[in-house]
Amino acid sequence: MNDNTSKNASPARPGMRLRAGITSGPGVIWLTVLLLLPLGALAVISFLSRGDYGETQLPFTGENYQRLLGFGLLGFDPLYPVILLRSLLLGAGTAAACLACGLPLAFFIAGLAPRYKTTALTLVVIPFWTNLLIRTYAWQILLAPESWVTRAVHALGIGTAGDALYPSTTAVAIGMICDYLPFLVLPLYASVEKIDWSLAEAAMDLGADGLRVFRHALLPQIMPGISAGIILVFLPATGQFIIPDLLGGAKTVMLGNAIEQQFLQSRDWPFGSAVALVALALVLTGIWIYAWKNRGQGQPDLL
Amino acid sequence: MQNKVVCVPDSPPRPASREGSPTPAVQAENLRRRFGDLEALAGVSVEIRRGEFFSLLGPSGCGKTTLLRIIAGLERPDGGRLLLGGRDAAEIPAHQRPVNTVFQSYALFPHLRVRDNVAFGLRMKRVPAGEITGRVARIMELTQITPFADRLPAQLSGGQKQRVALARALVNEPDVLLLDEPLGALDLKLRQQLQIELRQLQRRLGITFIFVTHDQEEALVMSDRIAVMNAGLIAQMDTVEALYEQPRTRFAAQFLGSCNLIAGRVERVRAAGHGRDLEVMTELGPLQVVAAANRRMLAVGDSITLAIRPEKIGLLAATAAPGPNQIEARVEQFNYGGPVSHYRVRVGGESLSVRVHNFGETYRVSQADGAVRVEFPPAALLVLED
Repeated sequence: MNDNTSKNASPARPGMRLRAGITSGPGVIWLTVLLLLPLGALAVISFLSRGDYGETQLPFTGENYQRLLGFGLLGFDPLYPVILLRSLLLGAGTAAACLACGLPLAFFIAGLAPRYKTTALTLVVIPFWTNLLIRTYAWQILLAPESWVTRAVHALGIGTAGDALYPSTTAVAIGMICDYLPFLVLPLYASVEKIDWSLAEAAMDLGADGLRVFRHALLPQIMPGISAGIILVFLPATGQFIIPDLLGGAKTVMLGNAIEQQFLQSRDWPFGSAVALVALALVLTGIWIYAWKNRGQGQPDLL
Repeated sequence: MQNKVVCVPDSPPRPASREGSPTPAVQAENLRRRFGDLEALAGVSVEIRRGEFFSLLGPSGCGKTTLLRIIAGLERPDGGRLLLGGRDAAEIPAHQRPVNTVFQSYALFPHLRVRDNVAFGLRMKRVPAGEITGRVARIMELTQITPFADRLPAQLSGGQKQRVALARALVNEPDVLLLDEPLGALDLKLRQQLQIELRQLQRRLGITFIFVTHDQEEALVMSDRIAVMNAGLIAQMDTVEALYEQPRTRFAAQFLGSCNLIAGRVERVRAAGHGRDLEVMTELGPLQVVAAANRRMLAVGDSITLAIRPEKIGLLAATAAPGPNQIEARVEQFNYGGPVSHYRVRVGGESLSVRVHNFGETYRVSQADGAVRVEFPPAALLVLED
């Protein structure tokens, strides 16, 4: 990405630069006002202290970060590192599960006759037409003790009859996969659709059997789609707390509700900002490592 | 496989002992393949000998690529039988066949460097790493791609990609190498150079090459034998020379080089030592023809088609002394083409193409008001089978 922009920018004459400035202006303003400024404010606030009435005040301090790492007033307490880890795990787990479900689905849709493809893609996108909360409550109804889904599951000999299937980790997994699958399937489908199948034939011709044809000839081609999909799932899933709340029981604090609590209930903006920034930094580091490991494999940089 | 070492560039040519060994490299018996309404192969039988440079020549859609893909195992025949080195190929999946392909699009792995592209087949066969390095280095030297060993395919020119595709297939030391129009995307100069290189490489390695092309000149320059295909069938299969000098069908005659076709009726048949002498009445007038003995029987009154190559027709000044098989003609069109000149001459109601080398008399013929005489050497007139 950097290469391209520098290549394009270098021969630009002043007029072109002006035009580029005008056309990119709204986007730049948007990003500055709505992303960079708040982010900067967040960074500054995270180094301030909480006043007695929840206001932010001087002096500058690194105490918020110390507390976040577990070194609070009352000695070591791993509460926040655990919350961070739990959220990252939720994000990573959701991404992995969506990949496992999305890969066969993307190939299946790409293999359909053209007239069925649109229908299939629409079906994938349909969940987006309803609100996340409504979808999640719908799962509560489906997984309730008297629903036909629950009865069917119990009939298979799983669980105790009369019990609901939620709250449970399985229910959270179902909710998360249903919510985030489209984010992974759509970019993945786009790259599966573009696969050059002659490479698969070449691999076969050179002695690769089924699994190795996929590994060596197909996987490298769909890596851009997989990366994009994983990032699109991992980022929001890490901050997700509604689904774990509603389907997992409100016992576990996730990153999202930890931040929300600090800002709204505890009115501790400085600490809330610190949590948010560390979470952001962790996620970005993860993505950066991922992109760095896959560099130079002919995929567009995502960062 | 192991004892079949790839020769280094300077080693002596491989003895031709593999040629004519008992089991052919490829035997196809009545292969059929249909795609929807299109009959790609309508019963093709060929036998390709070991160490042979065999070309499948035909217009696009004639089934030549389908035949190649069936041999590679990338396509299944609907019917018929295929033997590879005497073994029934139906039992051998594509990845286990002693066959490698140079694809038309090259199909190089874009994420692998040249070196790793070439090593791919050996890695898939789990050849020890040390041996891979040596074999890859040797084949890269042979195909002259060592300087680009660390580049990605996207950083190569068309000709370089072509060499990498070739090296990637040859490094596996296959019994048969399949080439699907490998030179199609290259410019003329490079194509001609690679034609010669490919031919030399094939001679040196002694590997059976099956070369698919729609370019008749390419097939002529490179092949030992050619199968001319048309509409899912083999129109004629022969050595290069026999195919050019003795085409049997209209399609073969006109697809390989150009040919003048003359309709006629047999007037007289006389057996001669080497074949049969015919007298044929044509629109141009009566012509003497020497028909080869192994061709179909002809009787007086049969309608036949005669074929003659443009360069076999003699062009004489109108004032030259008359001789047998000479007819008055008029030059309609003349194109100077460097070493050869192309003429269109009108003889009777027919317009014929004549090609003459530019030396001496013949050139001046065009300067006159167009009156010339054309001569048809009796042995150059071929009786086609259809």
